[in-house]
Amino acid sequence: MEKGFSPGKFVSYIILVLGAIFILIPFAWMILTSVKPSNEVLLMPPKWIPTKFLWENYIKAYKAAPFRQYFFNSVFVAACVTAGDIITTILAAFAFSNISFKFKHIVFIAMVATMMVPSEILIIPNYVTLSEFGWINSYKALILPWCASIFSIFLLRQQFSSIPDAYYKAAKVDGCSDFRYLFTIMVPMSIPTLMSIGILKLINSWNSYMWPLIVTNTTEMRTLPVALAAFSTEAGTKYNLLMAFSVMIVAPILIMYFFTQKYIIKGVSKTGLKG
Amino acid sequence: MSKVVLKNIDKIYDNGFHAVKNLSLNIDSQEFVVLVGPSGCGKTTTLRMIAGLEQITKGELYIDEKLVNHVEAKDRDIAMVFQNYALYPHMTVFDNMAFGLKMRKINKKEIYKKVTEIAKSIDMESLLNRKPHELSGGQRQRVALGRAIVRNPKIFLMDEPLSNLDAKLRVQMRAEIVKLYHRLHTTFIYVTHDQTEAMTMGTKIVVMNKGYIQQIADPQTIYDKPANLFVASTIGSPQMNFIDACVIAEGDLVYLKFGEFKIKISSEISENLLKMGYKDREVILGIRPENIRIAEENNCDAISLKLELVEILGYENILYLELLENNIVVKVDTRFGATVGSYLNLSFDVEKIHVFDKITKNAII
Repeated sequence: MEKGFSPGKFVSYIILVLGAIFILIPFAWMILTSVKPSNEVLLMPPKWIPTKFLWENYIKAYKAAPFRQYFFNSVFVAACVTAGDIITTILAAFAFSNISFKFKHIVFIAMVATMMVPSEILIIPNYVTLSEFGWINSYKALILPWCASIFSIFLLRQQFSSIPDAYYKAAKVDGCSDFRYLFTIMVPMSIPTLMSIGILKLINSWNSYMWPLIVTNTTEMRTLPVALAAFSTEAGTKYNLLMAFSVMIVAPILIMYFFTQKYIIKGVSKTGLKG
Repeated sequence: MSKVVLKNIDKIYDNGFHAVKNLSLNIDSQEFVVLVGPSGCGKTTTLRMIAGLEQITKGELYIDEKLVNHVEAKDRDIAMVFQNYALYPHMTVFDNMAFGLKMRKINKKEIYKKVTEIAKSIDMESLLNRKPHELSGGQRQRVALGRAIVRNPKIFLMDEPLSNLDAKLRVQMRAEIVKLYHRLHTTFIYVTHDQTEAMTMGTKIVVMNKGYIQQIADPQTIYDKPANLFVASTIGSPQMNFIDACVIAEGDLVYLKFGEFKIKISSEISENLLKMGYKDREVILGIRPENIRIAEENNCDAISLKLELVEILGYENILYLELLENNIVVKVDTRFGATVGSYLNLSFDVEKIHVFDKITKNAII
């Protein structure tokens, strides 16, 4: 029988509520700051509720940078990176889970080991490589280096490995090729994991700041997070406009997350890994 | 309708495990062959090699006199039913059954016709739009069978298809598979570890152990004349009783002596034993539980044993009696009543005893 109330349940609710507040405070601060007048932004002690809600901050922020171009770049780059990552992940995960080849295990461990290398270390060599290719300040530079991810491969490989071998054998007897088996049987059976991989990749790409900042040098190629730099001037940072712009950047991701969170949770819990 | 011939087949896995050793087997067209044995005996590996899902390390495999060692599974015209059914969870019953036909690029109309026809014959017509997780174990099993039948293959391969079902459903599905065999009249190769399934379904039984074939015969022969101790202990439930005994001759009569008891054996068996030089040698006496009877008080050949346990099955009783620190099992009529702890007089049906060599474990007679 289910109990209506128990001390354990009460404590766990308290912890969850505290956790939620801890996570939500920065968001609340961001949204409230985005409508504050400039003189209320840095007050000490902080003032949470603005004396006047300045919604025009959003218009100013929108006009401060070529938002539409940045928005298009962000959407285009994030969509291409996500699609590219999913395709390479599916193929690589299948190879690591279903095809036997020499040194498979060693190659896989070596690939996973590269996750230990901090991404900052790779920025300069990657930049040098791309500039040798002549790709600087192009979509290729923004998209191609991110079209494969070891973490995604690792996650999907775990999922593929959990699919019983009997499906493969049944499909073989039915006359299915490896490629067809992958896309008609394995991929549909792994939708929750693929969704979580896609969403995590999309969020990563959307929020990416350092890489677009380095490989692009014109307004036409820059993405939304890079545009945030426009609000920091020699005279100081316009925090209220910066926050208004940040809200505009975060909003699409938040909306998408609300609609797809069940897949993220399902995918991550199914593969027994945390994101 | 197809003939399958396995010639001196060996299977050694990459890790060095020798799963199948020098296996030769002829499966005639329209036979229902059951491969039976304990886990790891090589029966599933053999089935997979026939299916083309496992490479053959050594030897030759012929289907309809054509060497198929290197022919892909899809080109062997076989269908396989798996232990866990292997129904694709994201597809409906219809799509699951149609999958093999789609792969063979059969037109949609024909697929629809075939699938609905087979679904009707297996009582699944009303469930064609359901997904596997919405079906019971028995229904899933039927879909798995339907998926195999719809392809109209030359050979049906079944890998322990009933082991995930509960006991009642297993008996029911067993009968359905046998009916299906009679209806389709094609070659069935069936793998199981359950001797009851082997006995009730097969027209030919292949008993396997540790990668070797122990005996190939029809069910009655396997039961009546097991080739060795392993076959004798695998087939039959409760299993055959085994007693260490010594062959002794007293005048013209030959006895098997164990402990303080001795039983006289038939002249035919004793002649064989003496001819083969087993006089005064240790052997293993085997006797099935139904071949031991409760003897009359005055039967001088009877042996008296203490009753340890009675299992009442409703249609018969199983008695466990103490013999030389072991138990022997006896099947008796339900009308037989005896109290645990009492002594019973037993007589062995001398025509039905089996004698095995103590070292080779092979049947002597």
